[in-house]
Amino acid sequence: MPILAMDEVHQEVTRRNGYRYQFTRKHHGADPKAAQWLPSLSLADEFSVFNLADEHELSDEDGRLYGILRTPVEGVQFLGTRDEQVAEFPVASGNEAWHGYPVYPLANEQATGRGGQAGRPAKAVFQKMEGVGLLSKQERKRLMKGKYA
Amino acid sequence: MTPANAKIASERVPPEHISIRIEGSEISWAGPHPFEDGFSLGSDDGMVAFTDEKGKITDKPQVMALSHEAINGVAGFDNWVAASTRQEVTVLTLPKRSGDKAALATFSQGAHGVLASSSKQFVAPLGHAGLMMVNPSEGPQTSFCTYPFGDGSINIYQVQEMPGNGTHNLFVAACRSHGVGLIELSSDKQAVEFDRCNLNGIDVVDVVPVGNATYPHAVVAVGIGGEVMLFRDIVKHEDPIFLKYAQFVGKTYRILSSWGHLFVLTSKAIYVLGNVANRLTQPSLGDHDSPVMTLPMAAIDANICGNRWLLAVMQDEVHRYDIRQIHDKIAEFPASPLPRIRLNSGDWNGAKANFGLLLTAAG
Repeated sequence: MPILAMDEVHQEVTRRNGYRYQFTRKHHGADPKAAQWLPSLSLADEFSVFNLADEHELSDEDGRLYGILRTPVEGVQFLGTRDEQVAEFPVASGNEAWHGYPVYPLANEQATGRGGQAGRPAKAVFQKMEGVGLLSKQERKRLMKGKYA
Repeated sequence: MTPANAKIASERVPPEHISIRIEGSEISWAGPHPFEDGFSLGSDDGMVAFTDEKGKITDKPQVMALSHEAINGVAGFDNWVAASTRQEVTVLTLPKRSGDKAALATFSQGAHGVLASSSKQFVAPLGHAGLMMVNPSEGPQTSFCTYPFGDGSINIYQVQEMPGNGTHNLFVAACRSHGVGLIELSSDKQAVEFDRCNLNGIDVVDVVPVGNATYPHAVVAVGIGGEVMLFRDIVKHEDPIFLKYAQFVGKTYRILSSWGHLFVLTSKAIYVLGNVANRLTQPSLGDHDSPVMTLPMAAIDANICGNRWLLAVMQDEVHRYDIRQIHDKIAEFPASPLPRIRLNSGDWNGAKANFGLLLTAAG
């Protein structure tokens, strides 16, 4: 997909908590400095990453949700243009819909904001993903050291 | 099974290994001991331990990553040891006299690994943030520079050093979708030149120098889909030879070399490509068959130590293989012609190393 001309709220809500989700221009081509979803990833796939994160409560201590996309044959998929495999969904404020972006595997003190390269999900998130069967131990240990799975 | 077949089967028994563990910690990385024969082990919780070649711990494991993130690289020279994680690069200054305290400098920038260069600096691939060079010093501060490439668009994922020319350090880099990079750094660190070989459609994840005296800049790169790319002289921008092995299964993680063989680690196995590195450093690869040994395993990472040991980081321990034994056995495994393929790839582009951002960290 898709470069978006405007933010779009998805028609579906998450199964578990009924969260609304929006696809944002910022992470679909409008801001090259921000993390970008892969153009080849459909909006439905992007929402499925969020839906799965909510379904399994894959959150860090601040409530941010994290998700991955995997296929039976190829395993964990790349989600972002900078070889990211994990997406981060910061807690939505008020009545706003949630949004998300691919999160960079390495910390970068120079980067501003968590939407760039500064994300680096907490170890506990990967342990939760392994706990619910989304990651194998091999994949979890690879991701925890900043490698792809 | 006929007696003859039974003999063949028994001859293909995979090489033996011993298991190495750190009590109370899960190992995330294993590689050479920076100062003597033996190994360095990094753990999921930021500890580093040193062992002898039998895997017996020789120094008490200590925390090298204050973030307690998983270690993904350890290197050292003189009295300095560096460790990297996805959160930071740490340089430890070892005390010269017993009773003195060690000093730790932490750079809050995640890296994919770290190596010690021949000009006594630490070099860390930072992904899209580029390359970090750390010059340790005896004083209270340690300085480091970062070099982003291509306005941050180029992913420096793995770096290895090749022989330089005395005034320059030369590094080869796996740059993911941007191909294979060649980084030349002047000895005064004031100038960085960067060239890269575009390999359209290939996600390059690792590189290994395999040069000899005749071809000092021979390099092999590997793609995530198992594509093996042989460069006989990467400095002269010679076109790569592409190999694609049908028997490779899983995502490719690493490529290593020792004793003239290549070792390709995937998520499912280590494949030993018999004598392929040796053949690359001959005037012609030739058309003769090459054996492939398959060691099924679900390893996290792998490394070669001292041209003698292959270390495979497993989920709970490290498996140490003797490369001499692999070398002795590999001729018993099935051989076939090198699986060459033709690809329309291999054009070269220069890119700018934007600037060296010099910062210091207190020791």
